[in-house]
Amino acid sequence: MGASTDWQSAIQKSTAISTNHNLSVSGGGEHSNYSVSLNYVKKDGILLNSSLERVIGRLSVEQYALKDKLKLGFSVTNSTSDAEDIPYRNTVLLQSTLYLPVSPILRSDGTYFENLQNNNYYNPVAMINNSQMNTKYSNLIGSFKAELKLPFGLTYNLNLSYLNSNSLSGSFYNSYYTTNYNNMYDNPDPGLGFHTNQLFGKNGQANRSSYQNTSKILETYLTWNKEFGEHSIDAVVGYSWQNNKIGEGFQVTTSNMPVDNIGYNNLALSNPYGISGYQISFGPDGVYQETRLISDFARLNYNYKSKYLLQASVRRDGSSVFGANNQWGVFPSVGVAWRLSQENFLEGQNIFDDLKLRASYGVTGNASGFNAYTSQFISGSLGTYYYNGALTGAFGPTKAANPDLQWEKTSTTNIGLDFTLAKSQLSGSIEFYNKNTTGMIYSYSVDPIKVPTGSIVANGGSINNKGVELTLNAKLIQQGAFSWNSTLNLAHNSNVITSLTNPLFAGGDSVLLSRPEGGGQSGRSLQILKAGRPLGQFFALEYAGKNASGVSQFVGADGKLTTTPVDGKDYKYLGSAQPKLLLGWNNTFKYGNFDLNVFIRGVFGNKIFNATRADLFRPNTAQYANILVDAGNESAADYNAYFYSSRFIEDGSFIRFDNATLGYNFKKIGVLRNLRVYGSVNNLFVITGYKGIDPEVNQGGIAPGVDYNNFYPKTRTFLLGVNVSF
Amino acid sequence: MYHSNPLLVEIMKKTFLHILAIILMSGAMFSCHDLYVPVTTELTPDVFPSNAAQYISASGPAYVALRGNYAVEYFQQQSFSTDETIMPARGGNWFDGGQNQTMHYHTWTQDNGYLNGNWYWMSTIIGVSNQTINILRTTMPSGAAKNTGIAEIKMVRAFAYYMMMDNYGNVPLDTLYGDFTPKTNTPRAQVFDFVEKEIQSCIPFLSEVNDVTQYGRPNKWTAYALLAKMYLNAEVYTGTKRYDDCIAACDKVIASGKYSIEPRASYLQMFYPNNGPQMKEFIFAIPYNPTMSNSFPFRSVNIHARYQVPRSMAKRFSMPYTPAGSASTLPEYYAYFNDSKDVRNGQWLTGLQYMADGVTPITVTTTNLGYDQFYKGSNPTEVKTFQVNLTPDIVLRQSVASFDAGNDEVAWNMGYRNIKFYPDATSLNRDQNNDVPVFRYSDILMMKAEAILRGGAPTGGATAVSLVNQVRSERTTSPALTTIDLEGIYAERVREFAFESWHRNDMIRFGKFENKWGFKTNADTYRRIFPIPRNALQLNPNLKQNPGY
Repeated sequence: MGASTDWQSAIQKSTAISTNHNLSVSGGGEHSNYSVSLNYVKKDGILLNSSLERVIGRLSVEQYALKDKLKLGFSVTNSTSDAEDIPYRNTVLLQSTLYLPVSPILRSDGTYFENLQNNNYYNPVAMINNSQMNTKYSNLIGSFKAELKLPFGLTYNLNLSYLNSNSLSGSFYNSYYTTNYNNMYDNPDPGLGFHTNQLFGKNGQANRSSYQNTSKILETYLTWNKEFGEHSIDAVVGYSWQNNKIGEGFQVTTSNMPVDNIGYNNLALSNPYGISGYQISFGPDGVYQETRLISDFARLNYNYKSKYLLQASVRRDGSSVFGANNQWGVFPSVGVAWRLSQENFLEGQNIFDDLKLRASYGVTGNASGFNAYTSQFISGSLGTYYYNGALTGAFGPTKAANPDLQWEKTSTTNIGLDFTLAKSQLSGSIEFYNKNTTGMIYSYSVDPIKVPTGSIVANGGSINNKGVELTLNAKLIQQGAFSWNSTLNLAHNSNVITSLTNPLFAGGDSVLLSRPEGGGQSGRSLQILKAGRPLGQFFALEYAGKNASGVSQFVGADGKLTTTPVDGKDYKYLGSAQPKLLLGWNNTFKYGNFDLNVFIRGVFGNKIFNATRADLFRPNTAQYANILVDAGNESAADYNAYFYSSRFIEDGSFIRFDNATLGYNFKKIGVLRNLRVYGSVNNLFVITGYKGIDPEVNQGGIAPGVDYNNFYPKTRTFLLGVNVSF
Repeated sequence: MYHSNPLLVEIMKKTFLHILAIILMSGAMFSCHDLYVPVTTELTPDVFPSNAAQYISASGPAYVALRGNYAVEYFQQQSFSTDETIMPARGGNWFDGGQNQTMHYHTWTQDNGYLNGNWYWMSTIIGVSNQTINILRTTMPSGAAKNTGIAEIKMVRAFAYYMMMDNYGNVPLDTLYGDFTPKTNTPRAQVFDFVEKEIQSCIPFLSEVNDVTQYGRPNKWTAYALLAKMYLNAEVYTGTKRYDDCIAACDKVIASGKYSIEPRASYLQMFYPNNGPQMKEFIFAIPYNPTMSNSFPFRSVNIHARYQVPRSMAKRFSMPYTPAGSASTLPEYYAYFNDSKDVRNGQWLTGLQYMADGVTPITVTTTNLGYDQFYKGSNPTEVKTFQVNLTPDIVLRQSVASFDAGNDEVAWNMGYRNIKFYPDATSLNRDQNNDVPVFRYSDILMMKAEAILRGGAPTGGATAVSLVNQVRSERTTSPALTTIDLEGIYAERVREFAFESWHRNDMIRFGKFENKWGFKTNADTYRRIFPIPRNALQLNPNLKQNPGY
């Protein structure tokens, strides 16, 4: 007692060093050339026990033959990485905010301080130091290209490639962990899921997994290039074939290790049968999947005097993942452009150097994001049950078969204007788009009395994105040795789910999601997926200040204020995580041999649900868990203060000084062709009104904009570098 | 004469070769359009199920689903809505959206978590059963094994429909796999008729065996026990008395001679972690085992001790985790345990607590403020050590509106605790090995006694009091009863079947569900059935809400 521990600092290193080395060599002769490069990165993570090491090697060779009519290319890239991380990182981050600062990290006898009588309460430093997690990746891409020039303006291309990626992971929980943290809850990222109870064996538990994904790709096409006077035609017909295998491999989890220091590296020493009732786990069913994709495609580019441009294409794509009658889809697209600056009526003006108006419409198909065998009736493991004195495997359909599954289609309409003016001092573009995804493949909720798995992957809902993007490039100053170029990007997107039902089953038109599962708030959701609403729509209690006795009250479904709101029934739509405006602003300054690049980024008009803050807003639990300083001002009688409500929905707007790099270029020193020395800083500062640690919470996926201890802390990085060319 | 120009021939030859090359390449380009990828790593209908062992595995999902919520959330729905259990919040923890509060106050709405979760669970059992029946029907060769296999799954479905009808009244009847049209509610009395006919149609095919080979799966006596339960409650469900039918169904089980009343010495052991097929009273039990696996979205475990054992007593029971200890009984319920000679008192933790030796006190060390969050003295952080003393009353000291007893030692030691499903010291985690009985032989005798008292004709020379004494003689050394009335039957059922998920059913049949207990005063009679939950109404727009909600 009486300690003063900053738990968030305790799980971090004060500084972390990273290095990055690059070496490349290239050369060649009249009929061949080559290049080789090697890149090495080592990054120390800011959290204890986290780091990344990566090596990338590249080799490519080009060879010409048959009087240079045939070009052969061969390249290999291999990348390997080795990352140390923290198991249950989100739980560790959660505990670091929750743990009482008056508790020490260690007791006076050198053992970790714990108070396990307090449920879901674990020393985060002990969690880190009594567990390990390592993931190694190895990715190989080998490709062969051949291009043969034929008569009549024809060219034939053949590309073959092979992709192979391997992962090897290990995790280990030592005897301290398995003794003290059995039955703890995980803290998953916000989404459709719930937190789950984590079970460990005894005397340490180790997991090892190794999986391989491979793709083989063949692409072949014939190009015809012809110019007739002012007309130019570029036509392509082709075919591609791709076979993918994912999840080839296995995993195993075992327990009861004789010592703690062998980690996950010697599972043979484990004695799982020494623990009555322990079962070795081989991970989930249905990891291995094989798919095939075949396409025929044709494309035509035509332009007249570089003034009128037309592009038209059509693809016929086939995928093995769909039902036998729905495997093939046809996807056309067409685009036109008109360079107005070439027209007579704009001749003689000296405002526009270039002015181009363009429009396009195209449809694309999606065949990924779900199990490869969804369209088929397949049984898998549903658990075990008691049969004749033994636990017997229970096998049955693990998902609803949907033989009607077909391509999800996205049609995009685009209108844009590209311009260059004032003698190329200013250039840019403005672009409007409207994107509709229909027949959205999604796992729709279904009455389990009809489909016992409770959901079916089907084509159903639709979603719309429309917006505008503006890019401006300006050469602001060019005087003597000094120059300043600036690029500004502004983007606005509006997203809305237009339908969320599937044609096979009625009902289920909305889905509640994002459940942080804070104490006393089991199952309480923060967001909803619903037709007419965007992704990231917040749907929760509406805070309405405090009543006369100082207790937080909320607006009920009937419009009356209540201190005992009902989950679901009394929820209100409370804004969304979708930003109204994104900004990117890049500036390059040059003076003599000095150059300075400054990049600033901003996001405006989005909301963040600060659930981290809500769960630390419990004045009446101060004797058991940490609370925020702000919450100390709350009346201890306000037992509703922490309820997930609009009180914890904040404006997520921010401006981040993302990067500044200052460099100096030395010209020709002895054998050195070029020497550049530079220093850069990332994430110098953020301007925001957001009360959480960082406003840049997860903005993608199905549940954007929820802050729940699920982020890796953003670091400020200082970098010094040297580039040398010989 | 025509003279060929050699140069021209050469050019034509070259052109021809080029064109041929282009055609050949084009041919190669568009040759393969085969998207067939054989599935070699999953159980496809070509390979599964196709032999006796596989039919057993294919039947399994119905039992995995049945295990789902039975020991936890289903029990809680039956118990939290009565005087048997209360689970107040502790400093906001365990408030859980008010689902425990509204169950206690009888103010639940269609949004209540238990009501939603259990409807979903029962629907899943029915959906899985429909699917399993379809798989067995289309794959198994005709014969006795097929008839019995399908009858057993139909009994699982009948029991799920029974629970659904008992809890929600008017429920949709979905009995055919592949029929995707959304059904509307079937009135409760018609669901009763369906379940009754279904059980009767299964009886000829069900096994009469009662041993390890049949344990966990319904046999013929399970069917009669379920019929007896239906007929005893028929007046509640349909308005028609069926007490003679109840007695006849009980007599079938009694006449089988397969079961007997567990003696006093082993009554409590019936619910211990090592219970199983050897229990003389178990007609149908749901086996739980911490090492069973489950892929359904239900807990599928028995974790009774997690809720009932105080946090300070993990060591006392050698539990491998710290229990939550958030639930307890109410004084109104405990008052029925008023016979000091009754072995059934052994299922309670009350008053001062000691280690297993019975003399070493169980103590907790905390601070004055940790002991009592309302401590106003001068030394809030002074260390305080005290012996755990469980007090009978539940007081909502922190907030009545939030159903909150407070988050301190005073609150954590409130309420008498039930350890009938005795903590499992052999488990690696909180999941217990204790199987949960659905129908016990003592229930058969108690049902027959009650049916006689309610007007059924006695059979086999038994009277209501002789049947009750048959049970009591193996429970207490107090003298046998000389008379019994319905009130006496009710009291005996409270003692006999505590925490076995029948208390709500009993309270309704005895007209006690509208009584006052704890903080509950609501006497709405429409609450004898629960509302159709919100999620169900969303997934099936043809469902109509029950009257009153």
